[in-house]
Amino acid sequence: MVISSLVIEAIPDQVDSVAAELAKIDNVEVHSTQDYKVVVLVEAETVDASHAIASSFINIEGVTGINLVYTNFEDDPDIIEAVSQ
Amino acid sequence: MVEKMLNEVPDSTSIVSEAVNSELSRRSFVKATAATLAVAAAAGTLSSLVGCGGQGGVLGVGNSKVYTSVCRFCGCGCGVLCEVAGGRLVSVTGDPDNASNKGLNCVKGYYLAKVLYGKDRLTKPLIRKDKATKGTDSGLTEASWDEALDLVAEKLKAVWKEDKSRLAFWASGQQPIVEGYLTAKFWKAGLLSNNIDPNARLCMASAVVAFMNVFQTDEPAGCYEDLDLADVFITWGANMAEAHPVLYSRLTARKLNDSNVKHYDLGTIKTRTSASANKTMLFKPGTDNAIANCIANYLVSEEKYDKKFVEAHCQFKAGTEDLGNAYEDGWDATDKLQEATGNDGVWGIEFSEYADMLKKYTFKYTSELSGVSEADLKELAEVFADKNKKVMSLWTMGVNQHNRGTWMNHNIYNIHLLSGKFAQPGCGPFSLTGQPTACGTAREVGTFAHRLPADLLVANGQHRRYTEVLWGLPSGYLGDDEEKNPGIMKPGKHTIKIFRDLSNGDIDFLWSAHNNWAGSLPNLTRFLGKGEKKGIMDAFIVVSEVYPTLSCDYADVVFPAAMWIEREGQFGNAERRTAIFEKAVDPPGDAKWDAWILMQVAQRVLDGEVIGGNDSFDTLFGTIWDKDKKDFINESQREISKIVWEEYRTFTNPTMNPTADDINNDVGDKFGVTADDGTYTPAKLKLFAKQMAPYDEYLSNHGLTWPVREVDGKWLGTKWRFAAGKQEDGFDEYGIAQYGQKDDAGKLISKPGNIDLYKTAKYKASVTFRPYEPPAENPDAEYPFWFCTGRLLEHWHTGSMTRVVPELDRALPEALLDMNAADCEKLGVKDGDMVTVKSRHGEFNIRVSTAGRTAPPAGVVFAPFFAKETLINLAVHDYYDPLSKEPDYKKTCVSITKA
Ligand code: SF4
Repeated sequence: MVISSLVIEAIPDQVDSVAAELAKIDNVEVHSTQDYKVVVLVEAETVDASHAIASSFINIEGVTGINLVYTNFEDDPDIIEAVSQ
Repeated sequence: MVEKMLNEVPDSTSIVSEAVNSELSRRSFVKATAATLAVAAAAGTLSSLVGCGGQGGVLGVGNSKVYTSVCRFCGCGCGVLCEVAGGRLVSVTGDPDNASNKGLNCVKGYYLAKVLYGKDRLTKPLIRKDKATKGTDSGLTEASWDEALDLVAEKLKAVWKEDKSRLAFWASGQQPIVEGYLTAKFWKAGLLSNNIDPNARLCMASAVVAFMNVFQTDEPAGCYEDLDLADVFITWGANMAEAHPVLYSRLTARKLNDSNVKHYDLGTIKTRTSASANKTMLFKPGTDNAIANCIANYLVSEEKYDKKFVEAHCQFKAGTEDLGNAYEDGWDATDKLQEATGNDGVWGIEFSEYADMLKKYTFKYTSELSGVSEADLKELAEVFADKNKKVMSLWTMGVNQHNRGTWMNHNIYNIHLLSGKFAQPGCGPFSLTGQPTACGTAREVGTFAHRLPADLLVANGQHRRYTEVLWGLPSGYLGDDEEKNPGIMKPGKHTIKIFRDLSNGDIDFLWSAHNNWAGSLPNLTRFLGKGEKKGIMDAFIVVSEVYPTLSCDYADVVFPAAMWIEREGQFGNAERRTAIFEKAVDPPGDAKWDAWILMQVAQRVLDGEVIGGNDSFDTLFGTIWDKDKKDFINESQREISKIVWEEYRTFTNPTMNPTADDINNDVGDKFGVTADDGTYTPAKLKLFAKQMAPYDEYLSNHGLTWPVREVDGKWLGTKWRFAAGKQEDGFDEYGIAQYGQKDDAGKLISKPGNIDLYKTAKYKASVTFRPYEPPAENPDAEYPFWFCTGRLLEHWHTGSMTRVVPELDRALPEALLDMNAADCEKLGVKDGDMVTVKSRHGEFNIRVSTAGRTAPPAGVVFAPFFAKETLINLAVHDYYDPLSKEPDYKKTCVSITKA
């Protein structure tokens, strides 16, 4: 699994709705909110899949920024395969 | 949605101990780490949680090791921590201790893993045996390193001995500092050639020329922290949301924190940046110079400028206005341009004369010209008139890639200087860069055709002498007589000249690294020569690369290079922050560190050459390279980098070399001016103004912003150059103490605005009147549209790295032509249609989009330049700014017809 954490920035009075929308997305876990920021975890099979999920957050009404904090891809099968070649 | 695993964030110690006890599954541990880091990053307390080298943090537990690093995918230059296990990268984290990004990365941070491991990495040297295959993606065959190096060295040496005006190196704002320094040294001192220029010519040159004109020193006075403090942001033709994501995130965070903060977005098309701005002002291409003058006119005519500031810190100038537009081959050499770029190109004027020159730029006139309403122009001008507002202007390519880009840089400084909004926390003009080390390398170590390290110029005798001392060269070696011993006194060919000459058959040897000229140059029809490719076919072309690119298709030899963290490197970003990325993994196959490749070629080419009776190669590179071993003297790239850095650092710490320090202070009265009455004014280089710290400091501090000062045994950076205040708080205390203006008793004079522009000869910035000039081409019946080009989030420049990442390619698979729906209707084309875009220079086919990433107004179209199958630069003109020689990629006139 590729596990990533992100800080999503939202328009202050829409933080709750943004968090609720984020929580509806498969493989996304809303961890907590702080002021205008929502901390989320994304679990996906590959970096590509994780990136696709994270990039889609921009379509949520009220999201103003997507910041990647950490991504762990030690188990990404695509990378393991690429490295072994 | 996954099951909730974490109700609260465990502290780092408990995570570590639990992991060590293997009580949590690896997955839970990684999840807990991820959550801990993100919560801390959101709160700004991440720093205490991560540890490097496996010490004291949640990263680097077990068998993994953590390295400090810098992202390489845009001009922000964010810090990242790279965790490596089993010889490969396993995680990346925003580096909380790098003040440029404080633990946050943009989504491009995801790519950092993938770009190392993309398909088709170049792992073996390649040689083209049959020149007839040039210009195709076949014909290159694998070779040994010796074979490839011997061949390149032999060709370079032959051209060098025959006619050194026919060789060139094309460098880059992505070339790490140590590599750039060594390349410049080899080219300028080893080959005595100034034919080296970086791709930064295509993106930053206008900013550089203006910095030197206005402040007599390159790079901004402010820093990224201004983004956290400003009251008003103005983006001038800059799509920061996509091109500088983390900085834009800081800007939006500032707005979210305070609803009074405003952002005005000025540009010729609507972008993602406009989407979140409070107001977007779309102007007719090229009229930004008029808008800035209109603001200046309002400030001056209504007496709303900062009188005390202006009196203390500004001198006024005018310059040659009729510069023409540069397209013809011999244009640079014309008398008109020689005069405009020489000392006679600008002259001093009175403030009243400047005021008169501005008078034409009324709200009415400027509104008619630009299309921005009078009310909006007034609103913008009021921002500068408001004494209580901290204003930050931000710009990059829209301003720099402009037929009068240097002028527009001047004009932005003019309004900030008139209003006294300069070099204070949250307040000042900030020139963004397009690449992670355009500042650190291209600008700071001398890879421009006219420069030497530390802003020094090849054309200046004092600068050459200083360089000779530090490079161990005999006096006069770099030239001291234009006729008899020209050395490198005359600047070399700038980028466009190199490639125009190449296509004309006037360059026989070209080597490029960290760039992809066959995709990124404007007017590729001219340079790659549709039909007439002779120059490029005949020349011997060397490309150092990590993945196959269009430039490789024209290469005679391709050197496979180590990329990013496969070697140690250093970047210097737009806020003057120098940071190191450590070697963390090995390069694949036979790929090698660029510095190794360079030394191998240099050893071969300089074989048998002498400088002042000593072996040339040893004189220049003997401290790092063992000729007998044909390798570095030490296996550790850290140690080699340190030796090179210490040498480079001496340029900015003159007292490290007493002879150099005498030249720095003009001891011996050689370089200054003697007045009629016999008084001598020494020429002081003031090189401490750029002071750099010892190498290790950059590692332990996760980057430092120059000038870096040693205070009580600690090296402290400078956030606000020229600003008075304590060094500990980021102000330029030591710079001002050393070089600031003093009274007769030697006491520092306190000045309005809290600044001292000590790098200028008279402690005054130059406010030069720069008028509006129409674009080089204007729409007509045949070519009715303006065509603007640029970057979008997913793909970095020509996509040579980002397009090997499948997900990115899927996210933005195709370069589209963004068009206004009204224009589509007029032309009878619709979303998804293929069209031919044709200019006076060339043409290409592309698919139309009316719902694309950008939203151009009627009459303007936009496309990005990342796609080699949609080579938009075939049609982009190569008119360039006559002062900076930077091409205007934003205003080619085109026709559009259904394909
Ligand atoms: S903003 Fe730029 S430097 Fe920072 S993480 Fe994103 S691409 Fe890398």
